[in-house]
Amino acid sequence: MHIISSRLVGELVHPNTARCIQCTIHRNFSTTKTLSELRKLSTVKIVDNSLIGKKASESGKKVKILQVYTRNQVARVGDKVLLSIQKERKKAYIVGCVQKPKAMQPRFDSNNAVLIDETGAPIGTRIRVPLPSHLRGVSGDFTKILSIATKFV
Amino acid sequence: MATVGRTCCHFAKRLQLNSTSPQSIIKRWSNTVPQRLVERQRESSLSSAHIKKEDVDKSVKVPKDFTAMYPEFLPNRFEGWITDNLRDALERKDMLNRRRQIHLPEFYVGSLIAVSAADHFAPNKTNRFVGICIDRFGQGLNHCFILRNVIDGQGVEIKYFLYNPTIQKIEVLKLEKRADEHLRYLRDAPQEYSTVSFDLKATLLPRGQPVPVNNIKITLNPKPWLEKWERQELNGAEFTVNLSAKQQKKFDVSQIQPRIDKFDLMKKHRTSVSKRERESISREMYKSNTMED
Repeated sequence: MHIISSRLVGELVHPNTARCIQCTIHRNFSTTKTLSELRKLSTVKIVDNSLIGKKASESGKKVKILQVYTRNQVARVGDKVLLSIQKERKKAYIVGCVQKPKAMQPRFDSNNAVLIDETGAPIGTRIRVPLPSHLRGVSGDFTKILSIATKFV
Repeated sequence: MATVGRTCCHFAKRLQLNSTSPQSIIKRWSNTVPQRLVERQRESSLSSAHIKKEDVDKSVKVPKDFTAMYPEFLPNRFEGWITDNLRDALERKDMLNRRRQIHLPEFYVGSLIAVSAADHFAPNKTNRFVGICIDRFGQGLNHCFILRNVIDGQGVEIKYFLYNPTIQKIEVLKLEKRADEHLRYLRDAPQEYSTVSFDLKATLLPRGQPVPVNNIKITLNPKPWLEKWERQELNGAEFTVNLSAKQQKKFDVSQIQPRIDKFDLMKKHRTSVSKRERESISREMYKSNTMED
């Protein structure tokens, strides 16, 4: 049970609509868990050994999603996204999600992505983290990404 | 009466048509059950006086912690769900059928487990995953458990349905209990506490020995956390070490609000299984030979 303090939210409930109006102002305040969906402007972690990915992780600047190439605008494992990385625009594939997957499929602690160039081939030569096994069954051209992977779970 | 008939609802109109006097209305629509109906119910074979109590077979001695070993046998008493005894009984039958095909061992939250399941895309067509069990939930055929491991510095979790037919083998590498009901706080703890080697060999407990309880205290990472762990009354987690002075102030026991739902007696009644029901179910399941491995 969550008890909302009166200091945070001035008037709790509007008399007519029975909806918390002040809560809309405090956007960081919520009583439910986060969905951790990958949408526009959410951050990802680059897991291949490409130079630009290394630079981004060393500088500590966030790698953000600019566009998700799916119909519902939410990226999951195997979806293509556009990233802003080191003041450049690069395309990438999502290879691991925090968001709750189906049963028997792995849930990762971070949102992982692998950078690709314009032809669809990966920029790096190695992926250091395990990839989900069901990525081998996802439709799309993943053969080059799967070939540079080290482990599957 | 005419004004009432025009303005009132359908129910009042119906009364008005069929009734002749106000006394007959009271008789017809009273809340009391007439005496003749009560008598008929008493004499019928469906009444509770005629139902025979089932004979308890006292020769079968069920171990005391049987329902703790196999919590999925208990019926579903999740709040907001309709209780369905027939469905629960049918699911119990299905669970026993599955247990005749495969050995599903007893394990607890905190034990180290290896699961090998059919994987269509793997070269060997099987996928083996090793990890620490951090949560068990669900009743009947929907019973799930979550395994967690850290592989190459990457935390990975997989949820399995225990009665999934694609599971080929479940091994218990280390049988152990923890002081908490769940270990979901390992997501916010250092990685060393949830790393399990894939080459770990199983260590067996001697027969008849109780399952050891691991009373380890884990210091969590600094905030932000995924859940509000401090409100969950956890025994195996240390919260206050990695916090600033301002954050530590909030952790005074007097300032944490008590959980109110703990004192909700009706909720407890709705969500708990009665002792009699639990005993009858455990006796029924223990009788089948598949339980005695």
